[in-house]
Amino acid sequence: MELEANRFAEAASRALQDKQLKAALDHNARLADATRIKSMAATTGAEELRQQGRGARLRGLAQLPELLEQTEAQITARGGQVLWARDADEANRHVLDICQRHELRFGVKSKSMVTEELHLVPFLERHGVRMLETDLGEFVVQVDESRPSHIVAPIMHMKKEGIHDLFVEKLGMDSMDDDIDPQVMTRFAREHLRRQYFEADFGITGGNFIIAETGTVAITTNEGNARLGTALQPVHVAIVGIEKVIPTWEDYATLVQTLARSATGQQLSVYSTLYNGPALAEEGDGPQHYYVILVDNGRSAIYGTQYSEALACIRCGACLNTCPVYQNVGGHAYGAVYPGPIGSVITPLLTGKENATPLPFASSLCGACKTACPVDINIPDMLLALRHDLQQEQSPLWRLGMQAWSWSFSHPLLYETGRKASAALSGAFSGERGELRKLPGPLGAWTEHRDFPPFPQESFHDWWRRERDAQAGQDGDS
Amino acid sequence: MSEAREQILSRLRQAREGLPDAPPRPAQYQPVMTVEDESPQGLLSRFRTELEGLQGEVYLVGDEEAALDKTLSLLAESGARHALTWDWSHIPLPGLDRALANAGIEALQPTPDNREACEAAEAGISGADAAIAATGSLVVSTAAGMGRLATLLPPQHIVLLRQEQLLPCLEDWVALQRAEELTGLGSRSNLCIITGPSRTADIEKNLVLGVHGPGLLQVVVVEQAS
Ligand code: SF4
Repeated sequence: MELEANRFAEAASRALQDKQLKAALDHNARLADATRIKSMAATTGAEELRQQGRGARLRGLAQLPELLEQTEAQITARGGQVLWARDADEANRHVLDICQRHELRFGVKSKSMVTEELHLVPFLERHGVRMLETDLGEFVVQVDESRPSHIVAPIMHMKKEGIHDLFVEKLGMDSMDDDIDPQVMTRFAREHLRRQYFEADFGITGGNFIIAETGTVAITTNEGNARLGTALQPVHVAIVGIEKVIPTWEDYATLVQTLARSATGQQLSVYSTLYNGPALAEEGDGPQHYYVILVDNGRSAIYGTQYSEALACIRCGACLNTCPVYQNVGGHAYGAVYPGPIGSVITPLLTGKENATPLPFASSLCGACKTACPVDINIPDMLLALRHDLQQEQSPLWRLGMQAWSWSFSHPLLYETGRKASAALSGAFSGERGELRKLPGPLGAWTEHRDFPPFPQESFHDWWRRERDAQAGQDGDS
Repeated sequence: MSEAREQILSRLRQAREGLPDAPPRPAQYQPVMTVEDESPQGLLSRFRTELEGLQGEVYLVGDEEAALDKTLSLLAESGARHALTWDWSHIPLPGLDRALANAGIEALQPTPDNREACEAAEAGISGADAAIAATGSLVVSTAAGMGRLATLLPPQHIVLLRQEQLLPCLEDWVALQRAEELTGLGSRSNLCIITGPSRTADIEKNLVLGVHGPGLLQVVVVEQAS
């Protein structure tokens, strides 16, 4: 599936017609949102913890260069190796180099958004290295040859019937007819994947946090796939964005809990795994070789701008679940690796604003995302700023139009004339209640899916004049 | 040093002027979840409530003798014949090796050379570094004789815990590590905070246990002598 953020309107319209998708989102996104609210409310203080978590992330960003150096020193001291990558190609080549150095042919991978961003799996497969997704949702996506639609729950867009048919068709699972049981399907996937863990010669993971003071890469999963995918294989490669660094273990203790609560409503994910380095000589399992790839890929260009705060994101997915736009169109419509509100901020920043012009507008600015965010990221303000940037960079015609409007607005007589003309003209397009079914020209986009309210017969100016005169009359009576 | 490293770091250093101010590090962090009754009984009852809520199992036994019996009966119930274990010195239950042998259960400590045999094991037996009451979690770490696989590979995981190992909340565990300047923590290649049996809710948010890790998590707690 192609990624095309500029086709948002088209993709969203299509998504809105999709009844299966609607059913899946109504169930999954709303349930996830409700679970998060309940789970955060059960803490010692949701708002204080949001600010505590935010502080941890902002301190991480404030000292980013030093903390990255500290991380590198710690990992190196324990026998791991740190590699730096400026862009996707450099990161992917690092992985390929590691594969060649250790003669690795087959890797198991756990869920990681940064590897999606790098398009690592197709890159490795082009170079003859086979990769298997082990997270159940990502595995389904891989078998389906599609893309994840959510950063935490990759198959939020799917109903169990669709997954069942896929497993039957592509993997030869016995059909369950009308009695589709997620338990049986999950068991089937476990068996299917189990043998491959043993055959794999390396494991790839992302990283939710890096705790700088010990250089620890922290990963959370519920299934145990990341831990198993780094216990049996001789090589572990962790690929992490440079922005993921937090200063201390106390910061981790806060964030790992607010992350789990915001993502799935759990107190903690089942496996909060912490990697310090390769296995020690006497250990009976664990990787002999441990690499951490620190990926920039556009992050340093966001750092220090008015969008810096977007780098504090801990990828919990809460802003997606709570967003009225996401709840209706789902993740695929955004045409980007990172969908939803935070995706609408970082996609234009990471891939170039011109490649994602509709996304900053794919929001009603209702503010639900900021309220839901466990690190209180001000997404609405950044969406507004992006709109402003885009407007500056956009066609001179649009700007001219905006200037004309603001000029007419400051000249009452002109504004009045324009309004009267609209009210008169609108008769030609209006329905029985006077609502506008179809606006002319480019304004038609608005009325494609909804009506435009009728122009009032009396303008505010007229009303004001009439009321003022009436008031004056009354005053005269008394 | 690599060119990429230098470029990334120098870009960050140049750009950082524009960053929002970060609040100072709190002198005292607010724990996310606390336990009201921090007595040994209070901690145990909270640990049990939390872990059972996740469909884990908790068994309190009076002494080591009873712990051995409970472990054997859990293995008998599941029908396990092969168990992956930590080195005996890291499991707080003397006599476990003999008890398993007498019951005809083959104990196996994973090495890089016995992977095939490991795959067939139906149970794993380990100790834990600590347990967290507020979240129903177990902290395990790795060292010689304390592998990842015993806690991860077989469908059943039995953890032997002493009641004294229970801490109120995750922040207390971090405070203990801080008190020893993170040396214990830093000497491990891997740690894991395990909170319940392996699970997924990927398919329509239906909860399914035992995806890749154990679906059966059983903690045998040896009561604290009063
Ligand atoms: S922006 Fe906030 S709510 Fe959205 S994914 Fe990131 S951390 Fe979660």
